[in-house]
Amino acid sequence: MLGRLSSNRKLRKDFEREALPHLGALHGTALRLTRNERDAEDLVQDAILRAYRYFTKFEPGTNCKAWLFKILTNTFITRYHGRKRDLELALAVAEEAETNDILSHEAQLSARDPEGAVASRLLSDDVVRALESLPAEFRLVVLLCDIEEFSYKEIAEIMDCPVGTVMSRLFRARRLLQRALHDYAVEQGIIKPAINLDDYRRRQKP
Amino acid sequence: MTCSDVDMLVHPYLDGELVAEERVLVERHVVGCPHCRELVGHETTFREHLRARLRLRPQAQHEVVAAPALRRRVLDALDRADKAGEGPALPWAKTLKMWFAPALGALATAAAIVVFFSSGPNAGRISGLAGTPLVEEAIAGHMKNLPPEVRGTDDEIRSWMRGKVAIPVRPPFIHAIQLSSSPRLVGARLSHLASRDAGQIFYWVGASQMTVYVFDPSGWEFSAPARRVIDGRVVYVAERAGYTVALYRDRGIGYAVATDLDEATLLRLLEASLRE
Repeated sequence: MLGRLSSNRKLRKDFEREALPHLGALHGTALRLTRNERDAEDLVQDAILRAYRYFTKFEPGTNCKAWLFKILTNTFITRYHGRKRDLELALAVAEEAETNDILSHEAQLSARDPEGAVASRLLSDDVVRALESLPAEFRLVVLLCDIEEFSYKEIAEIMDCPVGTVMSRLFRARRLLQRALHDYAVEQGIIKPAINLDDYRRRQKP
Repeated sequence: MTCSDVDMLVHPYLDGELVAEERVLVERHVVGCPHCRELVGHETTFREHLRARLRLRPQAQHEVVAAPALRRRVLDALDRADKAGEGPALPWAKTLKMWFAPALGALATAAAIVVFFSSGPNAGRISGLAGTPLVEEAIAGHMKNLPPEVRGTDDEIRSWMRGKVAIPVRPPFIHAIQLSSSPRLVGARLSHLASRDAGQIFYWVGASQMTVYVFDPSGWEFSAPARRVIDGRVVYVAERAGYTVALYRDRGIGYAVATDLDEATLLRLLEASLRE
């Protein structure tokens, strides 16, 4: 009995040492995934409790952060499973946007500002809003790669998909994000729209 | 290396996912191609600013305030999990070793007896000596420490079990007198005992855990080293490797209780429950 108690106490101590340093990163990602503070904290707490419960399955010395993010991702998917239809709808919209994106690729190239840095001229809130407008899977892959700097292999393990899928999701996600940021920048008059009929007509006037 | 190769490889290139040889090929092409140079420049700048903008956010005031609060909240949740016995589940092999190492020899003998009984003409008849399958299975299930599938009051658990297990699953310790040492209901899950469907109910008694299996006992004959009579009912009791198991029938339903409480305490709890 005593042996079991002291073994549990040691596990708790080990868990706190390994897992709690990643709380901030988990919270940041959870906030972008759930898009609100209350759900984000619930998600982090659920994920941490699940990780604690299965802590004996974690191999010491391996990447604890990636392990925790995998649990966070799974918890998020399980929790949002009931809203699958919303997710499917979002993905369908994303597919459509992607097609438009390819069609307007040339138009986009011509619309780039000289520095190619729309993001630099928008406020953080706009960038966050653009990110949060992406479907969950695309949002997640950008967060894992660009913010948490996981490798493709780690992301594949976290999202439980092949590395090839990570690469194509990342490509599509960044395209969509650039497009959303571009639209914000146009709205705010930071850059000129790619297609401007008035400009064209003005130029055509003798 | 062509422009469309670079188009495809620009993200893995910037994410540091290419091997040295591939990097060199990309860079060699980019140096001589204004179109691809623009592409790489654009993607690099975009990424830098994206990172800078998104990383600014954790400095926002509400998040700085939320961080210690979240830490406290998580630590409280871990305390509650520990108290409710929902902390780390020890791996099966490790737990077995911890509890059963001194009794491995005896277990091997018991296993032989179990095999003999389950393959003989009386297969399904739960009987035997030290190796009573019900006793072993109840201990094994108790040690696995699986999470409950349902939580709530006795009535809520009873109605959740309805239709899932062929017999009415009543948490047995409903009316036990509420003392600090009274069983506190944690939750329940669907399970099985000797290949028969069973409801598995978890209790917390002071600092000890208790698992109760509720099942259809028809055709089974209970047996264990000790036989006690409580309120006219026969309770079979076995103590093994620090655990106590009690088997009994109540109104045609079978109960197997496994706990790390000692026999005297378990019998006192059963007495209070069965008398009600």
